[in-house]
Amino acid sequence: MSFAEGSQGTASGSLQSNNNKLGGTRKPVEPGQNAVKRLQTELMQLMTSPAPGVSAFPSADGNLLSWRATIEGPVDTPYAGLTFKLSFEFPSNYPYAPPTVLFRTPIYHPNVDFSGRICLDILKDKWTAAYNTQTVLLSLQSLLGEPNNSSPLNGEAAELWDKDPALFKTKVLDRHKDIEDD
Amino acid sequence: MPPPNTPVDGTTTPRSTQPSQPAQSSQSSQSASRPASSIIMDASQVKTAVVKMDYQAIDYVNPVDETLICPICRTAFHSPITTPCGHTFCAKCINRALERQRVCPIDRQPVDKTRDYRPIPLIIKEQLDRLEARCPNQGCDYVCARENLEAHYERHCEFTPVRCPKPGCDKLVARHLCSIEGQCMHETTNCDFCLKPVTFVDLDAHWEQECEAAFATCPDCGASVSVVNNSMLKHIQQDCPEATAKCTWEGAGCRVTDKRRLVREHERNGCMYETVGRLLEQQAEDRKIIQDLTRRLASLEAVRDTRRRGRRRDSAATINDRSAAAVAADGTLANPAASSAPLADGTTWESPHNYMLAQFERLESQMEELREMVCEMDMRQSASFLHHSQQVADRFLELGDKVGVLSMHTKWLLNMQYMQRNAQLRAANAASLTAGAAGAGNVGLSGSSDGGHHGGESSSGAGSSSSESGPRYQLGGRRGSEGRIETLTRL
Ligand SMILES: [Zn+2]
Ligand SMILES: [Zn+2]
Ligand SMILES: [Zn+2]
Ligand SMILES: [Zn+2]
Ligand SMILES: [Zn+2]
Ligand SMILES: [Zn+2]
Ligand SMILES: [Zn+2]
Repeated sequence: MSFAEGSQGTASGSLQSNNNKLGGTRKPVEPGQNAVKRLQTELMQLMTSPAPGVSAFPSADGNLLSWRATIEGPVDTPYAGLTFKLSFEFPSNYPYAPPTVLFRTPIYHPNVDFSGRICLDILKDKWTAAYNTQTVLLSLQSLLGEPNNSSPLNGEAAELWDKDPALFKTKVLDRHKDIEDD
Repeated sequence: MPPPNTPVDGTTTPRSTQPSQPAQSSQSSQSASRPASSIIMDASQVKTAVVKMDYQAIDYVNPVDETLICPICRTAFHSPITTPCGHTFCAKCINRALERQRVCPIDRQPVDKTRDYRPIPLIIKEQLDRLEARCPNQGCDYVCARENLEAHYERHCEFTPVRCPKPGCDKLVARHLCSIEGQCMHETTNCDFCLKPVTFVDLDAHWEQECEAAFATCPDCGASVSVVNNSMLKHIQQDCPEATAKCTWEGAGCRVTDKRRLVREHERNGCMYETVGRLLEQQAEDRKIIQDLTRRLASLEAVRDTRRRGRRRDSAATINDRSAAAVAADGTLANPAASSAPLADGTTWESPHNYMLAQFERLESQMEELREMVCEMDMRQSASFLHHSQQVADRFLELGDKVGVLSMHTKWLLNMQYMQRNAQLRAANAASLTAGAAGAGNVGLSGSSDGGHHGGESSSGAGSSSSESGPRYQLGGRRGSEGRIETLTRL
């Protein structure tokens, strides 16, 4: 045992140094590989046991670090019956860092600005490596019904949410507009 | 468990899982230490893997239970640890996560790297070890328990990337491609067919996918067939639908020879020689097994005989010697380590042959003992059986006698009854006849012969009433027939 391990250890050690000398790009490649593997397993899971009301799939260009997703507006919320498209951009050190998530469908919501950026703690400082695409989508779905009005990106929406639900609903419907897939 | 120098055929056993080897061989004689040195030889010849096996890339045969999946990498745990808050992750995964944030990724409890880690329960480790896993190397479909997969990857897998055999070349190459010592698979060569420059590593892929010159048109079916490695010949001999072929069951007597697709159709429609052919195949297989067994038996017997001869020479020395050997032979069964230990008189099992022979002889004598026991039991059993069956036969005879006597009695009794009844009947007949003769005076001829015996009776019956005589006669007749039925049923 000790013999085999010893020889192998030296072999891999020398190779590592060689590789670093030659390529130099070894370090950044490996985490990307990990991210791709993790995303592959996530994709498998999403396809074999999909959650109701949310879906996600890698974008058509074949880059596994970029996904497209959809959320159906929950019933009993102003978003009922509407479908929202989102984009996910995964960093190469995913899942250790959160993906960048944007609403691509225009949405009127206290925590989403007009360019689709989202204010959600788990996509920022509260992110942990145990989150995945599906849990993010489910969190966003519940955010539609329960906005965090204490730190709004859209102040008007935060105010109307409590004061005038009817007007809020109209604004939601006005803002919503189906977009083309790319 | 066999002694260390007994030949083992466990190909899956990684060579390095014999750490006790040196300890054992130091005790035993010279020959026992030989395999140990050959192991070292082997290990130096097999190119070692340079890249560690990637546990995340393993494909599992069955879906892995959710409880065994790391929440970070989403694959089955690899050397997992547990945090103080009770959550389990691969050590590598949690270490990387803690580089960013010193909290548990599940519940955000503070975790101090390594100091707070706890080992996982052994039962989880065992479950992980037992997962049926597929080799992560492309092109390899080896499947085994996960705990053995790394040994396969490191030492045996033909597809594991190893260093190029050419000194000075830094590139990696699949193990099966570096068979020629000193040959760099990254050097370019010219394709034999299209003459384009290709590296050795890519030659197979080139022939399979891009090389146009490596294909030729089959003269029979017109398909484009690779010409690499005699594949054209193989195509004509095995695949080409237009080439002439014979029925699979030719050996069984089928004479069908035609274009392959027609022959295949004939086979699909059921060749009448198929049954015979299959029977012949089965027979050939059986014969092979028998031959193999005979050969093995012969070799064993030969070895045993030589051993016997050797023993006989030995036994000239002392009887003590033999009993000591027997004791040692028994000891080897109970304790394999003792097999190579010196015997009481200082002799050793010089070779696995001797060891095996000792075992063989011991088993043989045990067999003999068993056979004797079986014979004895057989005898005892048949004796008791005979005894019992004799008793039963006697009883039968006795019963037969009794039944004979009984039937005699019954016959006699029946006869008696029958005669009595007959006599009664006749008396009744006679009485009615005499009565009728007295009343009408026209029918007295037939009854006159009996009339004399029972005259007193008949006169009294006649006196009562002459008109009832007819019915009474009928009644009597019926009673007689009833009585006969009764006796019949009683019989
Ligand atoms: Zn925890
Ligand atoms: Zn993990
Ligand atoms: Zn393999
Ligand atoms: Zn090379
Ligand atoms: Zn070519
Ligand atoms: Zn052909
Ligand atoms: Zn046939």
